Amino acid sequence: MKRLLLCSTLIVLSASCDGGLTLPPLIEPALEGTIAVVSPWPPQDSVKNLWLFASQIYPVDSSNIFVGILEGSIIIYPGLSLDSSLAYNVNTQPFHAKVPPSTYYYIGILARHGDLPFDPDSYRVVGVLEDTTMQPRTVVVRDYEVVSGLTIVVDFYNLPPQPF
Amino acid sequence: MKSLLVIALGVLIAVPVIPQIRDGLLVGIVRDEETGKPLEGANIVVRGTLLGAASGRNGEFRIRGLGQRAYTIVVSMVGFRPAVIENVHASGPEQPILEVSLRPTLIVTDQIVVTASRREQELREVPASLSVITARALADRNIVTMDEAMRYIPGVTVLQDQINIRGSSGYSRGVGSRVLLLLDGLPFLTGDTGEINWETIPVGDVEQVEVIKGAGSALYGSSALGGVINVLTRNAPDHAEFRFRLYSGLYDKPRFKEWDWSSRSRFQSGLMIGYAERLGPANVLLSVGRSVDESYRENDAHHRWTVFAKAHTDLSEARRLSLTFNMLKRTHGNFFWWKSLREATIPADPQRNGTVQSTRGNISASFRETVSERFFYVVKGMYFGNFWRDDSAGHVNNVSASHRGQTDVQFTYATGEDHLLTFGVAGNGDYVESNLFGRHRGYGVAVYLQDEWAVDQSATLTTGIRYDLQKASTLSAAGRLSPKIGINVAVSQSTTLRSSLGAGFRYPSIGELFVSSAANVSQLIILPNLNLKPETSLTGEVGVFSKVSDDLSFDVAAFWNELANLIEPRVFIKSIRVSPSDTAESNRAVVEFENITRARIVGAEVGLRVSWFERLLATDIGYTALWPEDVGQGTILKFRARHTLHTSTALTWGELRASVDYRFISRVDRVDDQLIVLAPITHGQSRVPIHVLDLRGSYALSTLGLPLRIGLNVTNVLNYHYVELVGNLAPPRMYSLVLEGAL
Repeated sequence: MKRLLLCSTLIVLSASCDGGLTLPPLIEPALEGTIAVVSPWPPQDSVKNLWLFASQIYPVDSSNIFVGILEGSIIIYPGLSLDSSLAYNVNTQPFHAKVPPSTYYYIGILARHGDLPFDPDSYRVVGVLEDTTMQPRTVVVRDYEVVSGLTIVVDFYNLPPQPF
Repeated sequence: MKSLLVIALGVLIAVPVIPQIRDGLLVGIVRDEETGKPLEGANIVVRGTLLGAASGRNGEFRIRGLGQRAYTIVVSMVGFRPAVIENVHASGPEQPILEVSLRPTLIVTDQIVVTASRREQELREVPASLSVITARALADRNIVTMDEAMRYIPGVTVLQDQINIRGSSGYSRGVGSRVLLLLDGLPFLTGDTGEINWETIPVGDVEQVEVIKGAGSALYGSSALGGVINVLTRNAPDHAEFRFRLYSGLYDKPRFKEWDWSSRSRFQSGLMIGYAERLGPANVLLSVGRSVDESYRENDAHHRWTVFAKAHTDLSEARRLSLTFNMLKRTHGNFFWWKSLREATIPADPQRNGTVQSTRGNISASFRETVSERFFYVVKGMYFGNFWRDDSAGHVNNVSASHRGQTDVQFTYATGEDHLLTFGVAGNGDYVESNLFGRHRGYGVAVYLQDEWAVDQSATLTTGIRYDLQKASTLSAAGRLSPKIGINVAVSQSTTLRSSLGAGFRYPSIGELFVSSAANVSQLIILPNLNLKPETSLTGEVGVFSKVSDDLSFDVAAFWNELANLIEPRVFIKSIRVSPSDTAESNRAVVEFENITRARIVGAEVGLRVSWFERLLATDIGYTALWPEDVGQGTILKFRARHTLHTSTALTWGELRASVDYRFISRVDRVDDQLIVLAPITHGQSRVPIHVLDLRGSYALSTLGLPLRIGLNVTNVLNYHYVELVGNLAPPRMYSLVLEGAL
């Protein structure tokens, strides 16, 4: 019986000396994955910019898209400027978009075709992150977590439903 | 309703011609064999009858109603070996007082319990697994709220405040408990959400807690799917008594500075003062308590006031009337889950300013008459009120007031030598008014019947059935029939086999049916579901108990629990109008209670009690293995651990008492992924196996002539960091000092 007590004590101490939960690494929250273009690319002069967007608002329309972008509930990657764009003529490109922790109901690729930056008609959504029912997939991003493995398919000649 | 009336009439017609009480009186005195001092609070049961008593301050007891034959009496008390005395006759004028001496022991196996059959019986007679927590265990562990005590019971886990007996419950924020809590034999679940509020239990005035593992609806009705907990409050002694209990504890620093959110030390402290007196014909006790827990987490402090009063009067030798008043008033922070594991002691942003204020309490009455050694009846009634509101930054979010009235009339009758019938009627009425749940009324009535048949000297067959009819608001009434059967066979003087099969069920609470809320601190929108059906269960158990020697006993049980229509919160994305003024729907994370799961839980439990070093030490070990299967989805059930191990070693040496408790709970295989994703709970998947080691010691200062006991407790000695519930870091190491006394 004394041996049993000794063994039990040793098991308890050895099993619990790791201290339990530890601090997770400090990570900036982000969306991570691949953009896959499955159609031929349109002429380069017809695509002024190409961005990834992640929207906490859905549905999005011309009445709330600009407000959403300015308020930060719609995130634009790689940057909110006419000088930034995803790569052109690359059929598969990875992305790592830092975003604030939130729930994103609408994620996709936005192309600017027109010259007027504040005209909704200058823009087209050319790809959407979809769930198994072909609806926009909801993605929750939490603090210190990167949601990875996302694949956004772009087909320039078979566009998804347009928000505006 | 018609069938209910037929059954009720049947039961009442079955009431036999009541035999009249006989005059035989047994007077005795119980003493400590070693010191010769009288023992107060010993239980005396007359075997083969429904008679019994408890010894008073001078160790004296009186039992009236005995006949002329010889009886066997069993005298038991926590901390002493039970005494069985045969060939006892009622005392006449010339008969001497019966002297009973009890030997102190650390091994307690033959306790008297009342929950399994609604009457006093020896623990070994119970055909189901039953654990007992004594008042001394509560005091030694410095238990502040009763859920803490539940963590020391083998086969029981507690997810924050939701109890889970042998895997029957997952987690639903306490709503819709699958364990029925009784306070002095009457259901003590809140009228709105059907949950257990542990803080309302008057821990300082508890005599004993009995925990039945397995379905108990055949005697107790709704909610007894996974088990029944009966909290028995103590009666006022028959002499003046002043008691107090003072404690103060200090939370140790966590291992990581990131979790040390406060610039100062955090304390938990409390004071309970109680006074008992004999006032005219009644024994009365009154306790008032105040406790403050500053908590190791931000916005998680608890402030409580408690009042407990109980009075009883013996209208005659055989009739006792008891009245109880119990109230809790508290304010506490609204910590739902952490901001992240890196900030594990800080709540998520929407919860940072939230508080909950509540006032809860009950008024109860109980009348018991022992008509003869073969017949007694009990009439009980209770009002239980719950009022709470939660605020966020000064803005009131949710308010609820629920009122529950309930009654139970029980008859217990021994027909001849072989059969013991327990039967009765029960009823309840609810009224709920809340911005979360709406305004609703609910009603319930039930009849029950149980027969304990002494097949022969060694075997008892217990059968029972209960019919419940419940109606919630405007929904149709729903009826449930709950049968049970159990057998208990004493194969030798030291070994008892038991087997039982019983049904359980739970009506959905008004909260689960009608809850409707916009996004609040949890960021989730909650939707009503009026189509919920009752949950059901069927529990089977086979067990053996053996007292191998005075120093060794064991209990082994195998059990099986089939559960259907389990109501669980389902979190999902839905396109809805968030408020009536919205013109369009939008996608939002919502919660709805649904009949989701069919489950099968198979398991085994082993318990071992041993004393050693010439009975200086006593060790209890309990191990439970579970296979909790979600049959509908072919996966393991959420929030269930497959292995739990509880050990406790106690030392009693003169006036010194010390103990070491250790519990291990294996890492929970599966949690609610959707809740973690959509709530969202950052790092919600972080969890580890649980190892908790507690040390405690206390010393009675009676050697110095002081009626005081001083104790030191260290909980979570290893400062092991774990979660019971996703996103909720458990308390770190804590040191507490306790001083208690009685005059």
